Amino acid sequence: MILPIILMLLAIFSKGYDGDMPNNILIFVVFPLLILPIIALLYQIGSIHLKELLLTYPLHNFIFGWVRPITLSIIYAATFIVSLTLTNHYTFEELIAAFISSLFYMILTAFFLILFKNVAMGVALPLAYLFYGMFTTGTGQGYFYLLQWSRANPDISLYDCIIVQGIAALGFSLWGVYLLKHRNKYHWSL
Amino acid sequence: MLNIHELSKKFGKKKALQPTSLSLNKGIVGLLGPNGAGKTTFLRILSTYYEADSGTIMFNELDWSKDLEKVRKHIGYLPQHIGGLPNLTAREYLEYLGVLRGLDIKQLATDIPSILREVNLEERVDDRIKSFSGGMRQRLGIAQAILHSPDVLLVDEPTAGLDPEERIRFRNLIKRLGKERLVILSTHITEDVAMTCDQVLLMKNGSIEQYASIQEVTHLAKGKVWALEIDSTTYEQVRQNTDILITLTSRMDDMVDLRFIASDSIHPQATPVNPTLEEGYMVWLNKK
Repeated sequence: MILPIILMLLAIFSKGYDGDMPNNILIFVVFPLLILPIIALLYQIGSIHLKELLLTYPLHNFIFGWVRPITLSIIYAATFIVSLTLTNHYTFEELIAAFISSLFYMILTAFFLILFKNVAMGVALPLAYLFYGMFTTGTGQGYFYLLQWSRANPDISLYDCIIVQGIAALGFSLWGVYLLKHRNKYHWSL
Repeated sequence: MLNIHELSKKFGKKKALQPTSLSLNKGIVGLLGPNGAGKTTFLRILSTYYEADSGTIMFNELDWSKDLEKVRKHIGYLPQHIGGLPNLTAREYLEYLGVLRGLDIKQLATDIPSILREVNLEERVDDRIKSFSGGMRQRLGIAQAILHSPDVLLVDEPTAGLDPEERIRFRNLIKRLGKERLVILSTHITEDVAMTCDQVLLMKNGSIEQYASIQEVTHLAKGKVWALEIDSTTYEQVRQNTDILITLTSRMDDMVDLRFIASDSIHPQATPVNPTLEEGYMVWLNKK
């Protein structure tokens, strides 16, 4: 839970030493690791040893599957853009885009974890999606490209990314609640 | 009373549970069947881990097809493989699972010592789970399953891998728990059922047959179990006979005492004996 926060502080404190370092830490280290708080929050249902037991426990689906991940994502996304603001010059629109992309990325992690009920999938799939976009400037990802606010793809607009990713985050979060509610029905595995 | 009507489950084309209807009252029910019979699938459906393809399950007013979260509050489940969290103490483990279950933390602080006493782990309350034996871990597993005083307790193969002493201790625990609730104990070990259960469900290839008592299962082998004392040479000849099923042998010098299941006596010295649960179960298993 606290590793991303420690790294954000590291990025802020390293501002005086190296011009590019804070930005590189935030984009290449902190942003990918934003999945960790979500994993910590939901890992029980993806744990190999405990999931059979915990999936049979009574849960308040909306609180467990929506309120908690959304609240945590908002807190970490907000902390992330505060770090960006303190270390670099971003426009207001870029900061909003960074906030929405962080939110979408964390919600996607929660969704994969609930869908596959497997922590490994919850870690690997969002990371693969993020790094694919990172190395190809979002080729094939369209408005779902997560780093448009930093390494922009010239073919798509930042504003459209904000709208599309915001709606997608809401959609995936509600879909996650549905999957959690029907957790005895869907047992996907790869 | 737990009422199950036409319950079934398929995985792809394989029928893991054939349409099944049962009614079960308070007490201990043994679910006995060979590996791969579908026992775990049946328990997983009851525990709400899996959804059935068809059929209904009702426990008093609770309906599995309506409010699963409410159903889950009344069920305690000990899966076959329960692990993880070896660095927690018994108390921390139960507190953690109790909180996940939505139980009140203050109430848990009061309940945990008495539950650990119930499962004979009161002296290990602050010991880490990694220092526990297999039997102690299973008893701790039962403790989490009864933390919320469930009406239905589902236990999947709990004695597999336990030493004889732990097995006996575990059976005594299950017997005590069965006085207050419905316990379904899945196992492939007939001795577990013979020592603890009131009713028996026999399962093979996804089909379940209900027997009201152990005697009913034992009765299936009535007149088909024989005892015989023979020398080793004759024993080797008897062993080749594919029409019989040897259930017990003991050797003394050159003589062999054996029990076997056969529709007729295969030897003039063979005498009919009273069957055991295991022999009744073997007859049922080999029934076409």
